[in-house]
Amino acid sequence: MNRRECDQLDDYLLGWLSPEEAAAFERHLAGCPACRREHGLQRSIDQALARQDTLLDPIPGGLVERIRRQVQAGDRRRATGRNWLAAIAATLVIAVAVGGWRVNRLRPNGGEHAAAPGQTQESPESLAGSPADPSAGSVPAGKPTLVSPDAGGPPSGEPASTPTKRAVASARVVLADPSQGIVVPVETNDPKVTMVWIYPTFKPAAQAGASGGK
Amino acid sequence: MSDLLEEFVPRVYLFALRLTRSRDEAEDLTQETFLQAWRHRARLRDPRAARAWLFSIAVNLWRSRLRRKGRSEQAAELPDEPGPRPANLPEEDLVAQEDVRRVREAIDALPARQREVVYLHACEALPLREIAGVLGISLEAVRSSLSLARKRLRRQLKDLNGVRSPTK
Repeated sequence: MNRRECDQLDDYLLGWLSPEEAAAFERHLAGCPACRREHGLQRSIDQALARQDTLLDPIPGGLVERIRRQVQAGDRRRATGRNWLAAIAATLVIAVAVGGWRVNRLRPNGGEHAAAPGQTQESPESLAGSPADPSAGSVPAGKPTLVSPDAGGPPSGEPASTPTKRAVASARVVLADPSQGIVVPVETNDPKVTMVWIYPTFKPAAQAGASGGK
Repeated sequence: MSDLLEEFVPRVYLFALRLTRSRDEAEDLTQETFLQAWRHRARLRDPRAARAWLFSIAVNLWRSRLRRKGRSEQAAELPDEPGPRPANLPEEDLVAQEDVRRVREAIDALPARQREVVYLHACEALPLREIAGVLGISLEAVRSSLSLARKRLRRQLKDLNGVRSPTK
């Protein structure tokens, strides 16, 4: 028995020997009973390994189905999360749009002033003058003048030459996926303030299950 | 997705069983593996690599779990009770089953790395390079672990009866 050659049994069985080395080992195998025994034993072990799972370890019943449900539930949760993110993003867009308009309106050169404490806040609907157009500010500060939004002109008693403009805040609401939310405009007293409710069309999985998928 | 789950859930579960040596933990690990795989599915560029990719996720999750629990892989408990016995096995399969059980016990007694390498090589027939990728070790380490494991198994199973071919 050549110890060095006997040690090559696994290399031979695993195909790690060169053709020349393999041929030399086969010659050794033919004359080495110990290696032939090991060779037979390893083949038996390999066969047992190949069968061990089917014989000993049946897959737990329903495991595939449980994982499928978990994966789908995970997808729904992520979709709901995206809906809320889209809603928050859209709300921020609106807030920035309205806030920008407000800030501009309160600028000293914006042609208008904020109402003093105790003073009635002018209704934006009836404000004359535009924050974008200071030249239109012929109305004395602190004395808002009623303007009919529909008239498009100055109220009676004002000089006809006073231009009147309406500043309208606008906002664009974009959902990442329109199928995942419903945007509903909400009526406000101030036409320059735009408000929308954004309803996600997905419910969290737990709620959806509890509410029967309403 | 259904086809993928049908194909890979059993394989990942059986591999998880060799990692954890506990049916409950293997089931948990399999579920977690697929949830993570689904979340990061965009990272799988080549669908042919799905099997090795799933195995590597399972390995990483298992090692993280052991680190969190402060356990070593060797400390993982062996299941006390044998697995459910498949019904209506032919008589010769019962003989084979005894041999298979002994081989299983010998494998479960191997050091963790050797056990994982032997399983991926013998039961999943993964190429050595993929085994190295799954386990995050070098090709040389895979070869060395495999050789050592096989020698060790032969020492422990000298009186194995011999397993007959499947009767399918």
